[in-house]
Parts: sequence; C-alpha cells; structure tokens
Amino acid sequence: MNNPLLLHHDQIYLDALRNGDRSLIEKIYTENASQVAAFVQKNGGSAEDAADLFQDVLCTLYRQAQDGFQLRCPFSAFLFQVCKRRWFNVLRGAKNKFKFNENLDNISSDMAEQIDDFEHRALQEQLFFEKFTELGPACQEILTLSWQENDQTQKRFSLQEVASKTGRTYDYVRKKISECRDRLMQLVTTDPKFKELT
Amino acid sequence: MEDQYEVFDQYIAGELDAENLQQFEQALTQDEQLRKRFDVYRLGTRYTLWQKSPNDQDKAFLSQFSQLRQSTAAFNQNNGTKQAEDQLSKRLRLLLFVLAALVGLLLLVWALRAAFQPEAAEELIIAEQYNPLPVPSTLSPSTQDSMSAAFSAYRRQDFGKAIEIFTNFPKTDERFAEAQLFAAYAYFEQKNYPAALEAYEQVILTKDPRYKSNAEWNQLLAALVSSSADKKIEQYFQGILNLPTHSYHEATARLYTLWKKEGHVNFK
Repeated sequence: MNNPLLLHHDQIYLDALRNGDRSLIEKIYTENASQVAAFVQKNGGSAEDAADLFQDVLCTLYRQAQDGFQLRCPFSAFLFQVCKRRWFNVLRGAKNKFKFNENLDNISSDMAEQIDDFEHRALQEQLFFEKFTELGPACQEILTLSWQENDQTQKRFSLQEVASKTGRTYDYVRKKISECRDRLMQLVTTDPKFKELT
Repeated sequence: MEDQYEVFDQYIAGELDAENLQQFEQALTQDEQLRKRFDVYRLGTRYTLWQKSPNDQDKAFLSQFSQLRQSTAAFNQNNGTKQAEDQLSKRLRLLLFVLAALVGLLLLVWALRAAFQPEAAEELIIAEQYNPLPVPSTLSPSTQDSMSAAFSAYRRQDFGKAIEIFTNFPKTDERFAEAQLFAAYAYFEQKNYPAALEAYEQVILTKDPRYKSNAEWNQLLAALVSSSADKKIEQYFQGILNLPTHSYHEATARLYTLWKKEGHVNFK
C-alpha cells in the first residue's frame, strides 16, 4: 500500500484532509456533495442524511490519512463508492454493520480491495471504541488521558501527569492503566467481529 | 517487552528507543497476530481520542466541515424541497378547501332544489291537470237564466257573485250537479279549498256521470293544494285508482307516485 509507484495523484485530497487545506477540502465538497446527496435522496434518505453520511466518510478519511492510508484510485469514485456502501448498510440496518456488501458496482478489483481495506479499518476502530465504552468510567478516564498529548510538550501525558489530573497516586495509575488496557484488548480480541475484521 | 500494550502505546507515542523500535517493528512483520492486534489498537486509540477528547486539529477540522456542510447547496436542498412541499401542501389545502366549498355549495343548491322542486312540479301538475270544464253543458246561449248569469260572473272572475248564484240551485234542479261543479271551481279560484272540497263532494254524491270524474279529480287536486289530511287524500286517490277506467286514472297514478315519494304534497 505504501508503494509510491501505486499512489494515485488524487492522494492530494487525502493530504489536504490530513493537513486541513481549506481550498482543496472545499473542492471535495463542491465536486462530490451533489452526487452523494442525489444518491441518498434517490434511495430513501434526506439531504440531511446525505450530509451526515458524507461528513462521516470524510472524517474516517481524515483519520485514516493521518494513519498513513494512501489512495491508489480516483478520489471521487472512491468517496462515492464508500458513501454508497455505507448508505446501503444503513438501509440494511445496524445489525449488518460489520458485514461487507457485495461489489455493488462494476468497479475495478483494485478499488474494491482498497474500499474493503478502508472499511475494515473503519470497523476496527469502531469495534475498539465499542469495547472501550464497556469499561468502567475510571478506566475510560485514565486510558483516555494516557493516550492524550500534552498541548505544550506535544508528548503524551506521563503517568505522573495522569495521576495528578485524576487525583490518584502514580502507582495506582500505573497499575490501573495496565489492567484497563488488558481488559479492553481482551474484550476486543475475544469478540467474534475481531476475527472477521483482522 | 513484558507489557505488550504498553509497547503499543510507546510505539504510537514515538517513545521507543532505537533498539526497542527495531525489535518491535521486526516483531510486527514476523507475528501476524501481533500486527492485527496492534492495527486495531492503533486505530482504536486514535478513534477513541477523536470521540472522547478531540485535539485542536480535530476540532479545527470538524469546524471547517461544519461550515462547509452549511454552505453546501446539495445538503440544503431538503429545506428547499421542504419549502416547495409546504407550498404545494398549502396550494393543495387551498384547492381542497375550494373543492369542499364547491361541493358544499352544490349540496346546498341540491337541497334547496329538493325543497323547491316538488312545489314546482306540483304547480306544474296543477297547471297541467287542473281541468275545469270550460262551459256548463246546461248553459243555454239563447236565454238569460241563472246558469248564464253565474257563468258570466265566473268568466269575469267575479267568483263571489258566481258562487252566490251557483250555490242557489236546489238539489232538485237537474242542473244542481253542474252548478255545484262550477261553484267548486269558483271556490278553488278563490283558494277557498274547504268549500271547494265540499262542493265537489256534492257533485260526486249526485253520481252524475257527466261531472263525477271531473269532480273527483279536481277534488283530489283541491285536497292536495290545501294540504288536507293524508288519510283523506289517500281516500281521494284510491277512489280514482280503484277505477281503471276512470278518465283521470293515469294522471292520478302519476300524481300518487309523486305524493308517495315526497311523503306529502305541499301545494301553495
């Protein structure tokens, strides 16, 4: 995936999302919003549904661009196909959210593969978050802080800082983070969806 | 690397020293299960922060998206469509109101017509069927007798005078029946229906075949015009209807159908 020879020139849009390039992000809206809106409205949704869907997909793209996701196909086609797939999943109901649709359009196998990869990643992050929310409030608070960056140092909070922010001792925080993380990953890896998605 | 997930955190945060970094990246390439767990962990922690505690860049990104969403026409067409739908709905409601008003008006017209039509029909029947004899058959054109004087008054529409003379004929007079008949006509013209009914009755009682049918028919009309009791009217109807050879049988049958259909005949 990281082979630069395979990179599509539309990667500039992912870079724009990652870097907050306003003019290119506006172009993404200008060139793609109406197609997605028309599709959603033609398939039982409203313009507001289309806006939610479009923004949801762009947010995923933003996060995955930050994680190094690279484009090997035209951006507009990719974006539309992902929106389409997600909208059909909405129509099919939340129960089927972790199941992939068949190849709905006659798109290239390479694009289909990249869409699958993209959606797998989106579902993996959702699975993780789903399990995170099953943890107790103390675990959620401590883990969130332990992953956060300190705005000044641009480094994640130290255990001492987490202890200070939560009013706990250093030892308690160190032990608690380890316990919570283990519990969280146990929940994630034992979920049947984990095998489907990895 | 005792705590695997601590290493995950350290790797993501860029805190691993060169040796541990190399060791971990090598492990990722060699251990597929480790790589799968790490992929989910990396993506998951990022997504969790996005959800629970977005950083400044995330917030700026979301703010920008929110503005673009507001200003993108394609995502606001619902409002336009809704307005158009509202306008269409208003027009439809107005149209329905106008249609309902028209229907109401038609119903009102129909009801008024229903109220007035029988009268018109009945008046028509009276106009068509009121059938006084034109001239007394016993009238002698050459002599100036009581019958001539009475008929002369009747023709002048001096019904009071005509009645006075017609009713003066004694029962023993052979012209009694005819005189009573014309007296009844005169009463009818005066709208003195009870007197007309009585005069017709006198004619009928004479059983004079020259005047009896006419008297029975005109008695029925007078009864209808005066809104006599239904029982009495029914009696008059049946008196004619029971005689198929009656000269007014057919007309009576038609009138009877109307009377039955309307429930009553309200002649004015």
